[in-house]
Amino acid sequence: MKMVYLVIAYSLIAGLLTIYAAGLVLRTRKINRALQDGNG
Amino acid sequence: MNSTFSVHHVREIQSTPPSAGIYWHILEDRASAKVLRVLAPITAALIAVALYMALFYAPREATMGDAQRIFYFHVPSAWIGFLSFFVVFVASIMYLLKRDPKWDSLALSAAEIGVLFTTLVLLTGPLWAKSAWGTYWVWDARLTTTLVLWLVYVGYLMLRSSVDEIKRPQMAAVIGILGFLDVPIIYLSVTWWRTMHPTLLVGDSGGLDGAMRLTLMVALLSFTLLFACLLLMRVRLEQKRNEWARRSALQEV
Repeated sequence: MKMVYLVIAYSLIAGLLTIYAAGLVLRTRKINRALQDGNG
Repeated sequence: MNSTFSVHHVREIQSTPPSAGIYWHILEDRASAKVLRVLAPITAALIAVALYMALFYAPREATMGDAQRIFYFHVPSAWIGFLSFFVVFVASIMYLLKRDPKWDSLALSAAEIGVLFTTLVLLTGPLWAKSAWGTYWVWDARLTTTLVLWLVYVGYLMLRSSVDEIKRPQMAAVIGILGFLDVPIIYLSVTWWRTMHPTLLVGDSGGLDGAMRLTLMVALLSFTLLFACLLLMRVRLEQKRNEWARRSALQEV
């Protein structure tokens, strides 16, 4: 049973960090496109 | 697009000489890209090593069993949360002194990362507590003050998206400075009040086993490098947003 808490905790850490890092990459690509397209 | 750059910064930026310090040089787009290319693989490798050590190298704790292994990433998450808010604290003071939007960008970037890691602390802590104490949450001094810290910086981020753009950096800087006062209270809460939260002992006087201590140190180092990577990425994004906002503002003028 205690193993379940460990799996949930590590999954939460890995999941949230991955989502945040992926979000940073996607947001940076989006603004790069906007800058290249001269939308500013 | 929500940016730390405002139309009112245009004249200010045009009349401000470029910063010559090595610090801002590192944050320049090309330089930070180079640093990231080196730092990201090292960070990924070190996190993999820390994960291996936490799961297989560190011994199984006698009373709590495998749930104790949550600790190896719970403590580094708390450390990065505190480090992030310290960066917010310093950058906010620098903004109020220099009025340079770059400091405001750094404060915003660090606050976002601090909230992320404090969220991880508040999620993983109760999972550990359930197996150790039999309950997910108690209104213990350390837990409560950590929750307050999280709420303050969530408020900081919400304020940034709701306040008028002229007042935004100053108001955010004041909250960024005042919010950090909670960090020493959290750190000292286990000595000031009787709490259920364990005190971390890493000295020679006792506490952690040698393998557990080494695992914790590797995990702390890996998360510190991860913090550096995320901060560089987030500051780069903010600089690009500011550039986009600057171009928009110049077109409007």
